[in-house]
Amino acid sequence: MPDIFDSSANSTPPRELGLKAEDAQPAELSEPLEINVGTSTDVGEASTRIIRPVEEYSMVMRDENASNGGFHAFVPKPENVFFASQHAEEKVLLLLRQHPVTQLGWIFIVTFLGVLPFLFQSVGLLNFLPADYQFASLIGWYLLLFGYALESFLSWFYNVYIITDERIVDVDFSNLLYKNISSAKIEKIEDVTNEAKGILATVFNFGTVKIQTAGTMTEFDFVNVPQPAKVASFINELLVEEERERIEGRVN
Amino acid sequence: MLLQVPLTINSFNTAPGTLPFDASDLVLLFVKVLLIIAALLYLFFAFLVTRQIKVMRSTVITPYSNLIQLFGLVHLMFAFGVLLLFVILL
Repeated sequence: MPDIFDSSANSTPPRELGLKAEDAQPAELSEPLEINVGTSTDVGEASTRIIRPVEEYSMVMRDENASNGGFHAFVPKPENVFFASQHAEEKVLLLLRQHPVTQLGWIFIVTFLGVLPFLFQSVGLLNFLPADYQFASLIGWYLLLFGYALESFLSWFYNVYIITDERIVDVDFSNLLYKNISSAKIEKIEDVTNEAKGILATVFNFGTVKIQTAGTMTEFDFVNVPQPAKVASFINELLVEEERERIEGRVN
Repeated sequence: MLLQVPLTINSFNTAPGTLPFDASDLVLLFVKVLLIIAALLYLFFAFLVTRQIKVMRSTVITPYSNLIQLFGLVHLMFAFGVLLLFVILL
């Protein structure tokens, strides 16, 4: 897979993620992070959650470098990336977008429509209009094209799938007036499958990760994400870690 | 002067110099009004896009949020410029 699709390829070395950009401090990976969760218990005391660095329990993340969450589709351990309902102690471990190859449709349309006025001019199709009207129609055309390209880009950039150490989140902006954010706790996940259909998906290594949960929303589909097998493996590792936390009693 | 020329179907004869206006002027005026209305509607759409970007920025916070907001503002300014262009130039 070309490096431009994978933000981890040219990123900085791993470091401990902070809660805010200004709070991010490098830390020893071997030292577990102890966080006072502050949830009330039967005896009225705050519980303590000990968070291990993701590299300690995840083979997938051990091989990935932290990244700055740029214009990439596979962003492991993103620095300075947060989401609206994120808890104070929650860390974003993986951010996913649709593979860039799946966006070639609108990019091709924009490119084609961008050169279309030059074709019209070459055959004199708009010569029946006065010169100022021809100029105005050209500017109007490119305004429409800019708007279409911007909307398509925004739709790609902000429709993200986020995996944190506590839950999975699906942020969905399907059009101008629709916003949907769904999330499920890691311990609610029951089954994870990944599939890659078609020649493009096989060649460029992208596909859909289907996550069955026991929550209200019973299935999460991470559609056309890069490296679906790796994503599924990582979620399974998180499930194992969640189970271990419960057994070891690291979360009350 | 205008009252001396009865407005009949023959008034739309486009032969130059025979009438105070011709049909092509009327069509262009109609097109201009349509273009200005379209530009106004588009300006509203561009404004909605900036609001949408604001919501998106607050939902997913990335280091590129300011750059994307800039894209939205450039789009809004472009739409406003086109509206002005249609009003002034046409």
